[in-house]
Amino acid sequence: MAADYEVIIGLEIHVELDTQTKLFCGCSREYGRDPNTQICPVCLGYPGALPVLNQEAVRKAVLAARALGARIHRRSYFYRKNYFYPDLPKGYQITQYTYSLAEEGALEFEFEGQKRRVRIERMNLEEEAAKSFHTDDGYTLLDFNRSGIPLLEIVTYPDLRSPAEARTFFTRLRQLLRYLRISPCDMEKGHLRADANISVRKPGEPLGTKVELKNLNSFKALEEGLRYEVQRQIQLLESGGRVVQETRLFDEDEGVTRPMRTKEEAHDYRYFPEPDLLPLDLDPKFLEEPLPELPDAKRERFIRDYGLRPDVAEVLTLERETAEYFEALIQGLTDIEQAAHWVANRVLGHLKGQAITAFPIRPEGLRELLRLVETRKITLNKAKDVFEKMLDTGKSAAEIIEEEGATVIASEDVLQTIVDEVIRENPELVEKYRKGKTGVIGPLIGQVMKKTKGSADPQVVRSLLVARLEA
Amino acid sequence: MKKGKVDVQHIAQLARLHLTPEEEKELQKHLDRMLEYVEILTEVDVSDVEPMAYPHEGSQRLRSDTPRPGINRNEALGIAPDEFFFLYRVPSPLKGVKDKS
Ligand SMILES: [Zn+2]
Repeated sequence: MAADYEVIIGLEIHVELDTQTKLFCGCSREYGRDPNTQICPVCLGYPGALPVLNQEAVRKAVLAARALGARIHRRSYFYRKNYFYPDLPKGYQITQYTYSLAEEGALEFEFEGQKRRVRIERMNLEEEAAKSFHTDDGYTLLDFNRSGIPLLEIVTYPDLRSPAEARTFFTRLRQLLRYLRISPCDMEKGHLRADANISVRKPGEPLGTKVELKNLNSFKALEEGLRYEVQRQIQLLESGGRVVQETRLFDEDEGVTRPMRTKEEAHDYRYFPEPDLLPLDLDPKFLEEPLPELPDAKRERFIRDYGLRPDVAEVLTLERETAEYFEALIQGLTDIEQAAHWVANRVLGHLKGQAITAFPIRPEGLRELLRLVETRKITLNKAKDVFEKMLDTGKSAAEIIEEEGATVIASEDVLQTIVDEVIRENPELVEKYRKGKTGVIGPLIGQVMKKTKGSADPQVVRSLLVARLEA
Repeated sequence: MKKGKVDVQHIAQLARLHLTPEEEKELQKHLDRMLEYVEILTEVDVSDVEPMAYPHEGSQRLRSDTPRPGINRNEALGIAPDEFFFLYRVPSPLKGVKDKS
């Protein structure tokens, strides 16, 4: 039944831009401060207060528009979008309408082995509303610290064809925005939010009635909310019903969508040009600023230039900071693949999702350790052990090895001397080996390892022993 | 009562304005006249006129992203109709204002 339907999804995404101050006033917009301590006449909507646009918000929005290949309007306008709601004390939101900041961009990404391209219809700068909390006794409580924080609105065309694809798109968009360093995109803090338009139809039929779905504020909520809505709409149609055009809220706890019951007035927002703000003419400097290397390009380069496996390159480029850590690490190293595996497995494994910028061992420190492995001064096993100790103690690789009493195998020469020593000390075992009992090589390796305090490479020891024994 | 072009009562309620019946009647008259006046404009054929958002030349100056002190919280909350632990308290829009139409 579900297979007979085509799912059509468009997303409307809001990103809080990472600035020091709000969009139209100099209030700080730091997250987590005491309620109503970052407020002024502008963001409280006092009559007569005049908005002045924050240039850093413009810069960051333009960066995003360029990274998405959008057509940027050298001149754009701000509009008033009128509606009554307590979190909007002016009775209107300052946003952009016709002559958006940018139009017609796209994000390309891979989904289930296919190249997908989702077009961006428009991108607008607008102000955030106050934060509201609804109480059980019928009140709404308002914190205006959030009022006026710069938002970038990104509206896609209805190019997405499944909830899972929508999730992948959203993930990739977040990755891109984080690469641009225009927002931390911390979804728990509400930095990044998504609403969706969703409809279903049988292929070839005209577009179905679309429902607007709100409150999709995590990757999981986005996918689950859309999934529920697809099922609901199909069941409705299959049972002879009709989809009503409405706004529904996703209830993450119960996993269902419900019609939104508010008295928010009409769909006529009576947009008109904001008389308090002249047109926005973009300074060319915003268009000329170099873009950082974007995720796809970086991943491809890692595969091409470092010979990394695609899955390893993907892990190393998920976050720009991880990629930068890796590239700082490999300066002067020859075994790039080993370094990549160290970052992908040990470093990221230790971080368990935390940012690499919080990792206690800096690239130089890890490089020192990996150099010791490359030059065969310590074994890989020993390196893993030293790595853990570096994390525990905060000491450098050299300090730890020094303290443990020069367990470093200086060179194969030193190892050769130890091998010769062991051969001299064990004439019976040597005799047995030469008579064909090659299994005794085990105890011999063991003795060499013991003399090197476990810091020699067993494979190297084995080959050195074999060379002597079979000479 | 004959409905005017503007639902004054409804707008007054949304804007928390307390109007006497006389004020309401007076405002109804004024607002309706304004709308009638503006409606005259729709009679003009502007199909080949370039839209103009602003009557003057020039574009906006941008502000540097530097924080500035705002206003004191007590001062701001002091003129609010109601507060609750430093938050503004208002009737919930979810139950909300009765629609008068
Ligand atoms: Zn402010």
